[in-house]
Amino acid sequence: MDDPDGPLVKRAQKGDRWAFEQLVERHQHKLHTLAARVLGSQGDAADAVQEAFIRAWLGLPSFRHGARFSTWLYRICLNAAHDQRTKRPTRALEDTFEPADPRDAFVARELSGALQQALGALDEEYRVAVVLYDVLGCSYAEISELTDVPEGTVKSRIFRGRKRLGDLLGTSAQRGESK
Amino acid sequence: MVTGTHPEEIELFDYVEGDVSADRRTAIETHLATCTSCADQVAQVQAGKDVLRDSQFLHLPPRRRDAIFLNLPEQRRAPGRSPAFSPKQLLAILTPVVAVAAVIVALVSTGDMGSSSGDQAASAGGGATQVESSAEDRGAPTAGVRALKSVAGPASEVAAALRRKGIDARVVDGHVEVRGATKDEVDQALGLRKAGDVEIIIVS
Repeated sequence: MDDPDGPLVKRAQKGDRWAFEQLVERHQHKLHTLAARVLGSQGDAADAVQEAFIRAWLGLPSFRHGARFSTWLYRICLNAAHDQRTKRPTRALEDTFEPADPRDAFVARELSGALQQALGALDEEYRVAVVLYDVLGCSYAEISELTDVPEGTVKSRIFRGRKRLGDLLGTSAQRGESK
Repeated sequence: MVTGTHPEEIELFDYVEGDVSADRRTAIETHLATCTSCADQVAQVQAGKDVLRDSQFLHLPPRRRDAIFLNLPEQRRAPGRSPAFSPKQLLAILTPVVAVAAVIVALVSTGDMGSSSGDQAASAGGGATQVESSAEDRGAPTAGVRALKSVAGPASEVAAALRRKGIDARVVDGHVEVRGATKDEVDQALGLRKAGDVEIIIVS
């Protein structure tokens, strides 16, 4: 399989920390977006991402190149997010706001915005499917692989997730009217 | 009047994605022109798609990224790869094994050991294996743990603070695991950090 991360992954598998840091740089924001959109909490998402990368680092020697590294990483991140959710209830936003960086404030605004509230109203399987497909740009095959469901089910979940979001947020024409 | 039967859900999805043939697209559009139920579904799906595609990536705070680098533990090795021992470590492991084997050989040759020699050799081999599996499992939760205290988080910052003081600490499942340090050393490293919900555990 042609994986753009392949060369760095091979080096990281041999214990090359620099190579792994390049992989972190490459995937950190996608992983954080996934965790934040699934969990709806900035602090919990950052904890899950940190945990996911450490698990990935520890698991790299066992990683086989049959799958894309990013797909493998997303699965680890979803597991870490799930663990984070079961470990404790979602933090209140005021507890998680980290104003040191303007980008943190942007994330906080996004996570308290209409899209996140609508995502929060979806069943988790629909939420995960639409975030992976529409936000992160994963293929049906990748989503199928990392959620362990057939591609037809992936399409159905994306369809229903989008439909519910459209229902909750209104069509663009409706949103325009309300401005 | 509705023209034709309602398309399947997945077919409507493929239609929104532009993944249907020209003939089928025409048939679906003919249906949508007369079926408000299906037309509403397509409009909602398209609206959901638009708002998701317009959203931006949510950046991980730089200090959280730094905390990942600070907390990277020693990597475990995959089964079947070269052993995780230096020549010195190998010598340290093999020396007692060879010594035990020599004793067994000496006892067998004098007739004192009888049939138990095999058990001894197996036991010695098991010892060596135990050392190796300990190295393999370095990242896994350990049985010999002792809860020390709970301080204000986040956990990654607590672990980073300890590591800056030369203490082997990392975040595991939301708590901080410390290895090879005493309670006093941890207390000293954390100074006057407030109490909180991040549990620090010493792994012996």
